[in-house]
Amino acid sequence: MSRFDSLEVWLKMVALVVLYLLLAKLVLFLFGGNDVVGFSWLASGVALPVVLLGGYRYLPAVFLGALMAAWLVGKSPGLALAIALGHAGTVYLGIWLLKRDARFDPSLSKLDDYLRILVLALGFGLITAVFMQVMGWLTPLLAGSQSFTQRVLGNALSIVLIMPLILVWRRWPRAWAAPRKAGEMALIIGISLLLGQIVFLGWFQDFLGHIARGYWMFPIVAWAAVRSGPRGTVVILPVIALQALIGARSAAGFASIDIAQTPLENFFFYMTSLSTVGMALATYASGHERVEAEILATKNQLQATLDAIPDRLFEVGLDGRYYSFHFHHSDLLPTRLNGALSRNLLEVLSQEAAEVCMSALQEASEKGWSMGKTFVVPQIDGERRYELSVSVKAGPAGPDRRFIVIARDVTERMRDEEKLRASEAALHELASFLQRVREDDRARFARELHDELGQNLSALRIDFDRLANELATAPPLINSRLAAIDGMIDATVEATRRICEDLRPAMLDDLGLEAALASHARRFSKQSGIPCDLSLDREDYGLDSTLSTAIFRIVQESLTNIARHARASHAMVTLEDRGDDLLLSIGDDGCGMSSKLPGERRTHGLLGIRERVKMFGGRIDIDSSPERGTHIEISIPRTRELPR
Amino acid sequence: MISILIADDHTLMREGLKQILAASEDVIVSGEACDGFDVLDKIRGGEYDLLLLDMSMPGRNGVELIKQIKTEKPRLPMLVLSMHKESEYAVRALRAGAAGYLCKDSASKQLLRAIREVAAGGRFISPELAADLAFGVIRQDNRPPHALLSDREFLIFRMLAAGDGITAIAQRLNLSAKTVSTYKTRVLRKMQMSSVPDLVRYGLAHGLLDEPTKH
Repeated sequence: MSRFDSLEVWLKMVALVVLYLLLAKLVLFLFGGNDVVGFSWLASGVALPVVLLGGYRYLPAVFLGALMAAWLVGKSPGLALAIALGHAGTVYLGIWLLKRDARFDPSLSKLDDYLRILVLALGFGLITAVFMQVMGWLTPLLAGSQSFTQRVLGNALSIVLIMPLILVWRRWPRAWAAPRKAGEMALIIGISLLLGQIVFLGWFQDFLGHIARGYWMFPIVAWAAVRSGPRGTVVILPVIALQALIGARSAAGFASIDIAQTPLENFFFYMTSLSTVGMALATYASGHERVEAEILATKNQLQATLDAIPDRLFEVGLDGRYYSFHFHHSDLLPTRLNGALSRNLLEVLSQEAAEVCMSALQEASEKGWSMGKTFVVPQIDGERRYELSVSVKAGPAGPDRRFIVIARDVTERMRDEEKLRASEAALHELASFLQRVREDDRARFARELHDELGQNLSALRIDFDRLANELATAPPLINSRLAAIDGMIDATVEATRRICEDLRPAMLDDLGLEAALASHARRFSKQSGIPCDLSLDREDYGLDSTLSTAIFRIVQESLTNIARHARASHAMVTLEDRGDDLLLSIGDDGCGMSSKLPGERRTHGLLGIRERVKMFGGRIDIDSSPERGTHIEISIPRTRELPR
Repeated sequence: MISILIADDHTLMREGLKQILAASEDVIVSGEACDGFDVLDKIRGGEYDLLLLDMSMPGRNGVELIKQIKTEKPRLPMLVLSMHKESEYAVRALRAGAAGYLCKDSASKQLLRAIREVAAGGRFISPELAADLAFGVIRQDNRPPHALLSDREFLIFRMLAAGDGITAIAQRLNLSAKTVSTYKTRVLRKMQMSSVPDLVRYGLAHGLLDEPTKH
């Protein structure tokens, strides 16, 4: 709690104590000396809501207020202490009981809440009365002239009247700022005041006296209740009560004999029934108003939601009859649907489309909903396709069930999807074609390099060796030139071999996939320093050249990735013949692919692998993380019609 | 006198070879062939003491050609001459029935020696490939099954035999569980066993589990 908050609480406490004193003074002034009501009479109606809303921390102020008030009205210090303790204790007990009731709403939005206050008030009055009685037996000073009933009812009454006033008016109403509302309130209060004066204080007694009775107050309370809710009612009631009390004190009007003959009982029951009726009406009226406002808000929400939906929305029966519809833009309406209301969709739609709709309704009536069914409506600008989603309106099952049907125009979407599929297929075909062309080209280059250049170099070497042999005795200058040429031939042979291998390993064609994989794995280990365990479960898998090439390239690409990015200490490649398909696993114990490391090259490499796998109708599964390295598992069907 | 048939699709190459052989007293080139079909024709038609065969000629696949010649002329010694230095080529050629394998690069220095050895019923392998092949041969001998495992496979074999689960091994070796299962399959296959308990029994019998692995 901030310092400011705590200061505010202190100020409130002081204010409460001062209020106790002022109210005690007021009671003394109103009923001084005659002991009809106790000095804390009005204050308890204030103390209870303050402690209820503000918390038990206000109890000390309640105690202090009662103590000082008791002293103010002339009680002895000891008695004042006892009275203040009893008063504060009763307040604590009352609030404690009220707070235990989880259903109690301090804003008094229901009649129940008001009745609880009534019970609390009676309980409070009862306890106070018992307390006073006991005190009276102990000290004759307090015996006083009040009866037990008077004490109960007197203490209860202030709570019944003041507590609701504070609870309801805790928040200032905004709507009342409106001049009309405020004017009506002023009128109600004015009339109420006038009626109170007439009924209780004998105004115009000469010509109204014999008909001015208590029931006059009921219409004005009812008016306040219906027009202003609890807020107005809780204001009028205490005013009426005060007028009645003053009347009773001065033995005038309707309550003139209440004090003398019935110790406030008649007055109390009169006020209780008046306020119960008033509050019942008020809470009912305001509850009703709230519900109406909620319905309106819901309706607005629904309307806005409907307006935002670009689709056609119908309400139809199971037989296909239209009951209502909602369109966002009526100019987009399919012309044939115009004037469809109270007709049947069977008459409006083509037979095929109608059948789709009816089956959607049927499905919805069985499952509760239907989604995704589509049908075609011919229109001026060509066919349009609609997708249905159907829900069932709540209500008893049977032929009278209604359905809400949304027909969404999916023509563009379907067209786009179609285009997307086609373009995707074309892209795959292109990728596969390029892959093949590239592979063929590389194979041809490699073959030509090998056959032409390679063989020529071999022949050259043989010739050169012979020549060098014959020139063994030549001058050292020539010999050193020969040695240089020898080295040049070696380097050229090596370069040619390397270029050929890079383009396409000759072994793939000469010896098959198995030998090519073994050789590649060995070369990989030698070049990267990462041991690679290759395991093939067949000597000869009997694969055609295309599939062999694909598998070789996948392994090659994967191992390249491992060498470049994985920071692995081991790699493994396994090819397994599973009958209908081949299972290729490539694993490493490196840093995984999720790291920031992979640049575009790596992604492209992986993309190439995926593309190849897809080309052969295979499946690829990649498991990769910094903790587990990378594991690529690929299954490729053995037989597959290749796109040519 | 050793009469030989030279099969190579490159005239230049054949000329070069002939020149090397011309220097010798005991070798005579009795025929030449320029592709696979030509070779088959020639060996069907004449008798030679040795076939000097280029492995990569147009037409038939080299290995297939060797097999075919072997079935038709089982007694004709074949010396394969090839551009390729990878041991796979040599292994395939020898397995298919060739008696010798010589890289073209070393032809001028080794050709005569190779021809003489092969013609005398011996075998010849280019020195560049000897080391590689030696390991291949060693792999064929009758060592215990676990010796066939690679280092990594052996490590995983020991972990499996020590009772570690796939997940635990994967975590410790920084591998995907799938990779470890693949290794497991491989180990079992290489060891010709069907289950982990077999591995445990084998490990116990061969004293491979004596150092308990720490967890």
